Amino acid sequence: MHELSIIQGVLQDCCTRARQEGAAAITRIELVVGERSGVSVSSLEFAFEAARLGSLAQEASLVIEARPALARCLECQAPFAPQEGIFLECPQCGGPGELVAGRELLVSSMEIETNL
Amino acid sequence: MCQDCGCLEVGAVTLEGVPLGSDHHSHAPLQEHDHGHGPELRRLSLFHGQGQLQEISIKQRILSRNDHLAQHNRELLQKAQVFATNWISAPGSGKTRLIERMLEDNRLGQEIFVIEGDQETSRDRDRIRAKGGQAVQINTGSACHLDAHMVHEALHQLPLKPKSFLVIENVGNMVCPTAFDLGEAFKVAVISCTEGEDKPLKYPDLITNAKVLLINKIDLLPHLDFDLEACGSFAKRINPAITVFAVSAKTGEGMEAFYAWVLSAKGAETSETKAVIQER
Repeated sequence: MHELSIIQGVLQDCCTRARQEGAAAITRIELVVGERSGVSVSSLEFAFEAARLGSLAQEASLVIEARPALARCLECQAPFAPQEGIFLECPQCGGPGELVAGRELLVSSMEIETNL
Repeated sequence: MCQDCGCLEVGAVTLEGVPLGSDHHSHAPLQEHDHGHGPELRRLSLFHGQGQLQEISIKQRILSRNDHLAQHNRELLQKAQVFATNWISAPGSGKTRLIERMLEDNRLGQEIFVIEGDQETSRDRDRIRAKGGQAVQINTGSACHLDAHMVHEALHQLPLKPKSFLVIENVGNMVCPTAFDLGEAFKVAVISCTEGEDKPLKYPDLITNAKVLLINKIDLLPHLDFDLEACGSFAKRINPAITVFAVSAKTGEGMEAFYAWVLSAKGAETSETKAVIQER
């Protein structure tokens, strides 16, 4: 479970950026996490609860968009959802596929609060 | 307890027994060098409490700091003409024994340098040195994987030579190391026969991210119910591009085919790098 070090990195980067913007607090952090990114959404949420304490994001909400895996057949070019989430055999022609989505691991945005 | 398993206390990472600083690296403020994909600002006039709310679009890879340093390692290795691989498996599947076998067989024609990653002890480094290999040891303390920063520091301690090989033996763990690019040419996955043929199904992310899978300890096959063919075919169904070798680090069986493949992969990588340099 490497999610804690990952979320600590996210918080560090977001807090640095928020300070540059003169923020009093971070109110929301939005992430995109692919189904095949090797990172568990529930573990990220769990780690966030502990890691945000004492930071600018102490009161922030964490919004995670989970991206499903999507593959494309290298032979017939048909897009398909991998069977059981992992198998890259084309359901149309049986040819080999490659993952085209589902490995994303992004900070998409955050919302900050600046005192007037 | 692992820092990544709930304990917030950060354990000391050491390289050759010396604590690894995180703030002395000359490229530490990585967020400072923007390569044109920097965050853009979008202002929304929302009000919340007494302050003004503002949405900031970031669109940055979560591991961008690691990825940036990994890319730096990759360029450094390419410039030094060193062919690096990142070995990932469960603990005890025989990674260190396989590297010892590579040193004993000496069939790659060039020196092999080794970066060892373990939570504690320098036992693996000592094993590599006992076989005549040059190695440095990273102890991750509480961390469950190597990252690009640790490897970067280790690179500076190895007298790397042009055309040589670098083997990075990651911490024994089939999950966490998979997410961290270290700057290698590719990842090598290892599964041993004693682990069961369904291991690729249980840990698909490693299989997805590896270029080659070594199924080790095939000398034990007569004593096991392990289905070698099924193991390879599970891996191929998850990653159709993966190359699978059945090997025994103990007897050396199957290693010749792996060496030939490594040499051709190195040749392909070198000519690709040359093409990229010429394009530039």
